[in-house]
Amino acid sequence: MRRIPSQLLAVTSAAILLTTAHGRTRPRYGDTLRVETHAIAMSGDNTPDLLVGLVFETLVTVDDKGELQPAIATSWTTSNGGRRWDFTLRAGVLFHDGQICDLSRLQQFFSGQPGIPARVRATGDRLIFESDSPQLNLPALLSLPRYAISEITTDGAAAVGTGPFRLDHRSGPVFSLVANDHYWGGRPYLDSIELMTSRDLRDQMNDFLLDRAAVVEVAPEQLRRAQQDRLRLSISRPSETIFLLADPSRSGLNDARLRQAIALAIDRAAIHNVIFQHQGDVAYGLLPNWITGYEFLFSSTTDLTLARQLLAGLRSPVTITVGYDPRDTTGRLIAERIALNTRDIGLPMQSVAGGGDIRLRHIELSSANAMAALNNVFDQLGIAVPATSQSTYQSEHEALATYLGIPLVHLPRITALKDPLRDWKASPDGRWHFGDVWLTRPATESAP
Amino acid sequence: MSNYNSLFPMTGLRRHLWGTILALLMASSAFASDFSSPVGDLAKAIASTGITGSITFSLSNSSSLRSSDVIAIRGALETQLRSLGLPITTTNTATADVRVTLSENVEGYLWVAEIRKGDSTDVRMVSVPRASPLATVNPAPTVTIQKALLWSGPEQILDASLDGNRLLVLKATSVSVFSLSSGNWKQEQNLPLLHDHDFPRDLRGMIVPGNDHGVDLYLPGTSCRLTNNGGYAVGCRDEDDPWPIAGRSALFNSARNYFTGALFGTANNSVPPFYSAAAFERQGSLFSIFAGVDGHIRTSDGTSESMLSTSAVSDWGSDIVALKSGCGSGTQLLVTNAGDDTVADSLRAFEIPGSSPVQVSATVSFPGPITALWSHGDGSAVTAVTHNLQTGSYEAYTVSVTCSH
Repeated sequence: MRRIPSQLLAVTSAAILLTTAHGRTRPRYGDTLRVETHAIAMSGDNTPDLLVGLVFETLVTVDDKGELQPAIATSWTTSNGGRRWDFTLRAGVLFHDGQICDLSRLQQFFSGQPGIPARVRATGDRLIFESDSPQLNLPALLSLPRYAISEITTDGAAAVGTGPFRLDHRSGPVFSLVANDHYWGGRPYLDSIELMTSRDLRDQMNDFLLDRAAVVEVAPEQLRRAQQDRLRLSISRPSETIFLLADPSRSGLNDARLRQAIALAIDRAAIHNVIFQHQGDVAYGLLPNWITGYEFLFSSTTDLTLARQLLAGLRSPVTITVGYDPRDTTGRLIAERIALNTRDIGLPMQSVAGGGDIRLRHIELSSANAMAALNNVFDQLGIAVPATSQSTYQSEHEALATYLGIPLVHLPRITALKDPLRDWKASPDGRWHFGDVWLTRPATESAP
Repeated sequence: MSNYNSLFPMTGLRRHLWGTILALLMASSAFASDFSSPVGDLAKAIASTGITGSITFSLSNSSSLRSSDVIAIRGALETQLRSLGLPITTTNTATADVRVTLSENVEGYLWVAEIRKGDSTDVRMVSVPRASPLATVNPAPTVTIQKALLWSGPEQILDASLDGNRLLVLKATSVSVFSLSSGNWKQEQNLPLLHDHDFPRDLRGMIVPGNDHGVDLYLPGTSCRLTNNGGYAVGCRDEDDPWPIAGRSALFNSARNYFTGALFGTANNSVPPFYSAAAFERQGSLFSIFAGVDGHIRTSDGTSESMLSTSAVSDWGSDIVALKSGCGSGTQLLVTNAGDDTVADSLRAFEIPGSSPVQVSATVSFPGPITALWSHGDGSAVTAVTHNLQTGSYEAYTVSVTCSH
């Protein structure tokens, strides 16, 4: 990589533009991409979600239209009314340590996975999932990041995947990924990716402006500023929802009427307009309208009268605490606003950093497939999927009626990109795809 | 209380026979082809909730449907509801209130009906696929580039070429043979291409037909031969044979998407790695032009090399091909546009009478990035493959140039 002394950068930038400002359609191989995200990868988590699609892959995947597409499995069929699913595996897929990703390994992997409502066995060239009740959405379920396929290396040191990049090493929050030359879908164009996690959004923007990162996240409330600064931005559809999550074991919250009263007291529009500067959408459903098309059916307005009526039927409530992540400055503002709203109905509430009787929780979509995304939200909220559910609408309707998870706002994922980045395909659900990305020239200075 | 029907099983919509009145209402052919069936399905779904007698009816649009379509849908739906015994009224004699919202989701349109009767609300939904827009071609001022769709399909196409009266379509895993039947290409054979070599991303491949020994297929690190003895057969080898390009042969990097720069032919020499090359005549001398991996466009007369000015080719893409037309200098260079796989591409014709290229045609738009651009046969026709951004399908076009008058 060519180093450019920073004091000469302004002088030479025009010349660089002139000498490199020629068209190119075909992707160019090489270079390191530096990426930063606020997402956290726990130190003990061998297969963090943010590495799914990069290092780890699922049996099937979901495209931008929400449709299931082949990945490790090339095809799948169902029989016996959805009680049996046969997946045909892609031939020649290798784990990053050279082991073959074959039927026996996959059978072993899926047999040990919690939450799969089926028994797993391997027959011929097929992986078979069987259950006593119909599992019509099993392929969508298996597309979720939590079912990304991994194998522990023979020395037991790490989990390896089959994706376009392999994990070279991890240094605290920084993952160093290198191109997998033997990837079944073709070697990626980038030689490597430096992925820094747990990075504060302000630090991300500083690194971006100082050419230390080529891909960073922008807070929704900072979008206008970023646009005024003429940054190259990629804005997804609303892909993250902020929920108020009630713990039914705390302070009378086991009574659904109290939870409903809180939901009716919250002025979601004010949160959306004031705190998030009109970015994203007010949330009424668990999933945003662009993915389901029916979220408007759940829309409601603040109803203080009904909220007070519901409270009147309860014994005198004690003070409830609403918790937020101490690192989340907007979270504090939301919690304070909710506390103000509930005081209007005579329910004392106090915002606290950390835990709380009810707490704010950010949940990412994880998928453009409605069924998979809804399953992920249920999992994140700890809501059991209603056993009788026949459709996403019905499932969502029943889950919302519990008021255990109260949606507040749907937010887009905003990504700032350096100019040399090409073939960045903005995924509507906010997921980043780096397999096809390439650089016309090095996009960042060498690592700080 | 709410009742509902399943959302996703509704994608398999049944076709219904329409009455004369409805057919007249749907004067727009686009409407008739796209929305007539889901209108009927939604009306039946509303009626299936068991409501009888007159209803109040409202319809709102929260989708990207045009207002003209919305008006037509409203009219058709009202007609259908009446024909199902649900007359629409504005008075308080109605037995139910039906509110339809034309919404949309990631997969397409979603039409939602809320049927309110007393304290209960039923919900019915119908999924409706979106139609895709049509591609456009710009007019041409000097020479005219013409494109004709040769083949379209969901699988990635690397190249397509005619072999006599057969159409050969090269894909990543197979080559398909088609013959004309009643004006349509009908697949006769699909021959798998067996290889041990891992193919790179941005896979490229080329068909070289018309040799006396059959048809050669070139893929990265893989060479195949297609022979026709009453039926086609194919055999492949994992070998780095040079690919025929621009009147000579050039080595292709088997793990990447470009030529290494090593050239074979009248004089063995090398140039910097390149994506594409073409040969053209200037003042009686034969020149080659290379679209370099470094972004520069170079020309060579076989002994010396020069670089076209960056400003003159700043909007050129990395695919260049020569097309013999007989117009102008006799050969034009067809050039893709700068951009990446997220934007639609185009072709323009250039000549290079001196040191700078001169555009001699209007821009012809394609519905997606051009992923392959190869010359075939005597060089009077070119195949361009595009990945349609609207439909997601791959489309192979035959591109030719005619003289403008």
